[in-house]
Amino acid sequence: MTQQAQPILQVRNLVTRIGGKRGFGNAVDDVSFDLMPGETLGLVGESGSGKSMTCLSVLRLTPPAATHITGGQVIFDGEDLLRKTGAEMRGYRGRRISMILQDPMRALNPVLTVGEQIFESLRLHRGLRGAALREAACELLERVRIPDPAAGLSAYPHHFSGGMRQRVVGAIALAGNPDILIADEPTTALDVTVQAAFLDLLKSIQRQDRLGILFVTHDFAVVSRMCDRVAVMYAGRIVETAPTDMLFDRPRHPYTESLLRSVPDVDRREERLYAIPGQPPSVFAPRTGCPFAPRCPRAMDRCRQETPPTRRLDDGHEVSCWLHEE
Amino acid sequence: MTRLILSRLVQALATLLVTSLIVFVLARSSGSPADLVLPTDATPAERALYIERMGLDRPIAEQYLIFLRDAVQGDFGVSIRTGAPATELVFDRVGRTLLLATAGLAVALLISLPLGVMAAVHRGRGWDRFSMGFALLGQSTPAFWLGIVLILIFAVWLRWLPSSGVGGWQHYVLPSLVLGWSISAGIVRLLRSSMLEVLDAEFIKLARTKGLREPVVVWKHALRNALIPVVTFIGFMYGVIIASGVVIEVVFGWPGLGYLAYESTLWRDFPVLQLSVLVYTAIIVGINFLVDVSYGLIDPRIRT
Amino acid sequence: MTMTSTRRFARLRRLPLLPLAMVAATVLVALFADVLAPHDPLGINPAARQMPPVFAGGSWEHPLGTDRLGRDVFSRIVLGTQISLGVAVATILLGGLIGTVLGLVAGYRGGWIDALVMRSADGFLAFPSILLALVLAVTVGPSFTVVVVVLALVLWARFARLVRGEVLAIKERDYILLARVAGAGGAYIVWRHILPNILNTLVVLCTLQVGWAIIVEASLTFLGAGVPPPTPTWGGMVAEGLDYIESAWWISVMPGLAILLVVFSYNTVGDWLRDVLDPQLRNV
Repeated sequence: MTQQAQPILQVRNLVTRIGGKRGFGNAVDDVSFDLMPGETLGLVGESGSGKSMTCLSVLRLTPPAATHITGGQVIFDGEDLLRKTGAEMRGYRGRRISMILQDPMRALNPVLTVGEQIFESLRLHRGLRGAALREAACELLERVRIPDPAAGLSAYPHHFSGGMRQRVVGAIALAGNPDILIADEPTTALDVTVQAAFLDLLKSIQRQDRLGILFVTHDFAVVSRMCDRVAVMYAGRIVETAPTDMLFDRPRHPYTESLLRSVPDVDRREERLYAIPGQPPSVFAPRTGCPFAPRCPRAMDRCRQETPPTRRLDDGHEVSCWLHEE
Repeated sequence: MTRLILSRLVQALATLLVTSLIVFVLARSSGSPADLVLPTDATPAERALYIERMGLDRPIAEQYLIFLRDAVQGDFGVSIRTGAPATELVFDRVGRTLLLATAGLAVALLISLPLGVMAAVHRGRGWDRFSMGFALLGQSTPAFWLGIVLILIFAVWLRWLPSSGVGGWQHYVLPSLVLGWSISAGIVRLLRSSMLEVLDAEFIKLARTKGLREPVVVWKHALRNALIPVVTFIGFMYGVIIASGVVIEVVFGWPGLGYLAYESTLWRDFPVLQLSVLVYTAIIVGINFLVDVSYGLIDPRIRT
Repeated sequence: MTMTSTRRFARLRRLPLLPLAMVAATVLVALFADVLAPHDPLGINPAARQMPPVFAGGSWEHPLGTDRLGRDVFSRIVLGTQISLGVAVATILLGGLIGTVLGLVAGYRGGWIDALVMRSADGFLAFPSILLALVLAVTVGPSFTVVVVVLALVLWARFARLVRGEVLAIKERDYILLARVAGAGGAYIVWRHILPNILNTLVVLCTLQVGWAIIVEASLTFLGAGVPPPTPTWGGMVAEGLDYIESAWWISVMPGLAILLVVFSYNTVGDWLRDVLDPQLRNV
C-alpha cells in the first residue's frame, strides 16, 4: 500500500438537496472522503443515512425531479465531475466509474439476453464489433466465474440464480475497464454462502485491476471482510472515517460505538440486545448542531448548538465530534 | 411450447362452436326460422320443402348437427337478397375488412406509441397533459360521428378526399384515421402507466449507470418491457376494434365484411348475417390465438 | 383510506366544475325533458324543413336547426337524453349488479368458481357486442330491452373482473383474517367488510361506464340495431341526417356533438373521482 499515490476520487463538501411536497432537506450534507486506487472504502450507516444518495451523486444519477446537487466537488482523476456537461458525464459512466446495485433479481432487463446487455457496454465503451464482441463478452463472464459463458450469452436473466445474476451485473460493470466501482449493498439480497463467494470474486478482481471500490453496506461482517477503510454516515454526514481494524478496535465517535455495540456477538452472552434509543432525524427536519446529539449518550450542550468540524487524529482517524476537540 | 399451442387451438375451436351455437339458437328462437331464410315470396310448397330438408320439425340437437354438417362442407346457405351462396359474398369482402383493420391499427400505433412514451417520460408536464387530454377526447368521441364530421370537412367542403368506397390510397386515409383514433385512446393510457412502472425499475437505473444515452434507455430498454401489457390489451381488444370497424365501414361505405353485415341486417338476409358473424368470430379467435403465441416471442420469461 | 384529510381536501380543490355541471344537467334534462323541450320533438312541420342553426343563418326559434321533417333538432336532442341516460342507467344496474355479485363470489371463493367466472368474463369481453346486436335486430327485433341486454352482457364482465381483483387484494388483509378468526361466515364478511371497501372502485367504474354505454347505444341505434324510431335518439338522429349531410349538415352533427360533450363530462368526472377517492386505482 504505497502512500505516495494520488486518490483516484476526492469528494469535497458534497451537498445534495432533496425536496418535494413534504419539504426540503439535505440527503447528503457536506460529505468529504478520498478513495485510493486499489483500496476498498466502506460506507456504513443505517437506512436513510444518505449512503445511496452519495453514490448516486458521484455519478450524478440522483432522481432529477426531486433532487439537486447544490454544492461541493467530486474530483475524479483531477477533474471535477460536477462541472461536466450531461454528455461528458455519460462518458464517465460505465467506462471510468461503474456501479452495481443491490437487487440482482431486478437489475437486468428481462426481455434482453444477458449477452446483449453485456454487448451494449462493450460496444459503447470499447468499440468492439462482431466476433471480437462475443470473445470479449465470454472473457468477462469467465472472469466473474460464470460456468459455460458461451451458453450464458444467449440466455435470459431469469435463467440465472440471484448470485449468478449479480455476477453478470459485475461483468457488465467491468466491461469498460473502470477505475472505480461503486457497489451499493451488492450482497444484501444474497444468501450468506453466495455472499462470501461474490466478495471473494470482487476482491480478486480488485487486486488484478487495481480497482478502487466504494462499498456501501450496513453489515459489519461484510465490512471486516471487504473494506480497507470505513466511513460511517449518519443523517447525511460522515461522522467518522478510519482504517477498518482501527474502527473496530477503537471507535471514536459515539455513534460508531453504539452501532458496533448493537451488533449481536455470539461470543459474549448479553442480557439483552442493545439498540440505540431514538430514531435518526428526518431529512426534512431543520438541523442545528450535531445530528446525533439527541440520541448521543455523551452529548454536551455544545453538541446541540454547533456542528462539530471534521478533525484528523494522529492514528489515521477522522472524526466529527466535539469530544475530540480540545 | 407445442402443448401451449395445442391447448389454445382447442380453446379457439371451442369458442367458435359456442358462437355458432348461440347464433343458431337465437335464429331458432325467433318464431319461424324458415322466414329468416326464405325469400318473402316463397310459396307454401317451397316452405314445406325447406322445413323438411332442414329438419326444422326435428329436435333442436339434430338440427344443429345438420347445420354443422352443412357448414363443414362449406354450405352456409344462400343469400335471400341475391340468391348467391353466402360463402361467396362473405369471403369476397373479408380481405377489405382486414386491410382496413390493419391500417387502423397502424395509425393507432403511430399515434399512441410516441404519445404514451412521451407522457411517461415527461410526467406531470406538457406532453403528459396533452396525451391524457387526447386520450380523454378519444374515448369520448363516437367513431361514427367523427367519421361523418371528417367526411363533411374533407370530402364535402374541402374536396380533398373521397367520401366513400374503395380505390386508391386516398380512400384509406379517413377511415383508418377514424379507426386509429378510436383505438389509440386506450393504448395511450395503458402505455403511459406501463412505462411509468417500467421506468422505476432497477434495471433502468442500471442501464443509466452503464452510460447509455437517455433515448436508448427509454426506447430500447423501457419500451420493450412496457409493450408487453399493451400487446395483451390489443389482442384482448381486437373484438372491440372489429366492432368499431363495422360502424366505420358503414359510414364510409367501405365494402367490407362489416358493411355486408349491416346490409344483411337491413335486408333481413339471415344466412349472410350468420356467416358474417361466424367469420368475424373466427378472425377474433384467430387473432387472440396469434397474440397468445406471440406473447412468448415478446416476453422470454413465458417461453420456458 | 390511507390519505390524510388535508390531502383529500387539496384534491377536491381541483374540482372539474364544468363537467360536473354537465353531468348534473343531463340528469335534470333527462328527468324533465318533456317540459324543457321548446318544441314538440315528434311534431312534423313541413313548412320549417331543414332550417339551419342560429349561427349559420337561422333563427333563435330553432337554435340548432330543424331536420328533414321540420322537427326541432334542439328539442329532439333534449328528449334523446332520456334514452341515452336511460339505457346507461339500466345497463349499469343490470350488468353492474350481476358483475359485482359474480366478482365477489369468484374473488372470495376462488377455485373452480373463480376460474369459471373469469373464463366466461374473458369470453364475453372479447366478443363484439355490435354483431350480437345485429343478430338480435334481425331475429328478435331491435328495442330498448335488446340494447340493454346486449350492453349488460359485456358490462357484467368488466365489473366482475374489477371486483374480483379488488376482493383478492382485500382478502389478505388483517381485518379480514381477524373476522374469520372471530368466526364470521363468508357472506357476512363479504357484506360487512369487503363490499364497503370496494365501494369507491364501484362508484368510479359506474361513472366511467356511463359514457361507454351512451356511445355504444348510439352506435347500435345508428346501425339500426338499437332503439327504433320514432323515439328520438342521438344515434338515430345522426343516421337520419346522413342522407342530407351536404345540404343540412347540422342534423347529423349536432346530436353527435351532444354525445361528445356529455360523454366527455362523465369521463372527466369519473377520472376526477378516481383521483379523489383513491389514486391507487390504476386499473379502473
